[in-house]
Amino acid sequence: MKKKIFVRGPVLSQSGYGEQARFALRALKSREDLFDIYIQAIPWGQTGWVWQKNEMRKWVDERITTTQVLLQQKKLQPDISLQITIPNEFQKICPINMGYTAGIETTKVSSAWLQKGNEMDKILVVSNHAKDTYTKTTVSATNSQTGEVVPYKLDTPVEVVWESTPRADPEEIPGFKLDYDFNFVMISQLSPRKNFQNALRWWVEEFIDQEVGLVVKANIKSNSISDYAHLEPSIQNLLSKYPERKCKVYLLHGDLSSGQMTGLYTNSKIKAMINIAHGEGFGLPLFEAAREGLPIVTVAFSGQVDFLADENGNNFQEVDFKVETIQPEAVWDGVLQKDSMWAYADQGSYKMALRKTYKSYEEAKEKAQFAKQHIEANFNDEKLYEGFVKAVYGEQIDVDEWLKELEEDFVEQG
Amino acid sequence: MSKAKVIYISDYFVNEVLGGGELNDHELLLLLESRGYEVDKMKSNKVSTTTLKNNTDANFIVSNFINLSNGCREYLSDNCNYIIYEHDHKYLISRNPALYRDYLAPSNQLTNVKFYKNAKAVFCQSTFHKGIINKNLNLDNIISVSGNLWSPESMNIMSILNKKQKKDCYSVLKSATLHKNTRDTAFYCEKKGHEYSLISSSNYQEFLSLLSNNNKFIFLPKTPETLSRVVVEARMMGIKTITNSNVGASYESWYSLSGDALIEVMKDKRLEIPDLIARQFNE
Repeated sequence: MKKKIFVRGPVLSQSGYGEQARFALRALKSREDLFDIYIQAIPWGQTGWVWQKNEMRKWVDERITTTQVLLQQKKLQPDISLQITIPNEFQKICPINMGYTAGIETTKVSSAWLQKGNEMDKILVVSNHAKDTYTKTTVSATNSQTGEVVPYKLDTPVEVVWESTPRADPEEIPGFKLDYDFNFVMISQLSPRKNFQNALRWWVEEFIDQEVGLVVKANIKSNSISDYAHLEPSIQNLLSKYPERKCKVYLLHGDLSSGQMTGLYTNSKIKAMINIAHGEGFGLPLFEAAREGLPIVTVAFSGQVDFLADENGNNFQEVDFKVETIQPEAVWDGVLQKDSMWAYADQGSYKMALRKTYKSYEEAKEKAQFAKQHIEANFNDEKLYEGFVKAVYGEQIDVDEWLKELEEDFVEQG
Repeated sequence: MSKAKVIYISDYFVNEVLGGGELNDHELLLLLESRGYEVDKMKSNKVSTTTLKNNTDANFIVSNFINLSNGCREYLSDNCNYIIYEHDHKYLISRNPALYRDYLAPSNQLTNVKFYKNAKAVFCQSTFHKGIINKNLNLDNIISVSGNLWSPESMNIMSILNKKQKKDCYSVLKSATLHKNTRDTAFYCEKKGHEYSLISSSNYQEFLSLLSNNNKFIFLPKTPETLSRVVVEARMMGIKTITNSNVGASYESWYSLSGDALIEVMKDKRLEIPDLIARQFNE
């Protein structure tokens, strides 16, 4: 039986949640025999909007328009809502309500997430880390009727469905040239969570006298020109402390197509990706790079572990870390709790991992091949879509069985 | 205690909402007036503790009370003679027993328990309805009225429509309320190859007329229906009914009756139900 699904999320935003929302749409669209899809696009912070025109975009635009008209006419009666956002924004809007969240990069969710999560029928998350944190968080709550203080946790079932991006053929980035043959790439954001400054500063210190490059693809909030105008001086300021450095840092800012991103990961001069963020919901750029066989330098904490490790161990260049309380400037009331924790990469271990990657590149490359194989076998579109559809639709019903069950409960009176 | 004054509290009255509960309340109100009671209608959101204090000698009938303040519920519980005329399940936070296995809610999902407990009686629509309330509240003041009230005019119309020639076709209630399950019911008819028509009208007489065009009515709600007026109406018009275990009416002894025989039973309810209420007031 076809189900009407109402998807509310930042389906057109240039953000992690935007990618997640588009993954959900591609997965649902892969089974249009099971779903009538209705879409409500929401903005996502100050991020920009996707601008590429393709068949998928045309379809999304058409579904958004149809949904808007039906909502205005009050004629839309979906069976399921799929809300792609942070859990604070989950709402009961359909007979069955599901949240699809990147979850949390820390070790604890807020009480608001538990409360809102318990209003949902199911929660889908992008990683086992997100699931563990969500299901293991317990807070104290007071029963309004009895006054009794009781432990309160999430009762709603949580399922890991991950996410992915479409794999595109490599394209060139006009004017993009690298001076050295060995370069790292870092896709990041100038924010406390991403640990941007340490990642950059420590990298420069490690390679200060080496002919090695680092491509930093980053922004602060969006891909706008004013964002660049704020970001570029911050990086210059940081680099100005190392005037004699031999290593080079390149800043890439602005929109790149999927093909250009693939071009970056597969560029013969780009040898590895670095990421020592305090935590990742899933770690989409790490996923994309690892899928192309690029060695990854990172910590064994949070979302990326799902696809960078397999039963034989970690297929990446490991950086040691400690799990400690998040920095005061990272606290985001209702989302990042002040008593929650995340990973702090060890400076020495990070530098050592960088050196090992540079000096013993073949070893790093071999590990990266294991990661690539693991991703191709277990995180391909077919598997992810199937898992996602099953999580949303439930087991496909047998119509004859359904009719039989219905009739077994019949009360007929002539 | 004055036996002549009745204050009838409800969220809405029939001039505002044409629901089953409001239609039933309207008939009951008229019947009580015809028995000499002075009946004051009060919208629940307009009732204050001052109103209640000024009327402590009155008899209260509390119908739908979602908009009644907690203070008023508390005051009624402690100080007034009142009965609850239950139209759904307002002792549950969700108001929906179908959310819980065997319709038994965990205790943290109960609400208004004292309000139900202290009522002189809680009137419910059917033995099925009573069973669910009992299972959750375990009180000894729950009474099933085993039916509903219709105006003599409506019953006359149904008596006429009972004799109408009917088409061999299924009627499916067209409702925007999801638990009425219009879509699955229509889907069932399609899969089984049954001819069906979707029935809906905001005009009550027209609705009855449309329903009586077909000889079968299929209604498969997803959640418990305390009685289901529409199913009883179909039966009173001589229509074969196909329902499920969620329909309260199907548990009543009179359910096997149809046409004028069932209309007679419901006519009797116009005496029985006010009698039951009067008895509570007189005790």
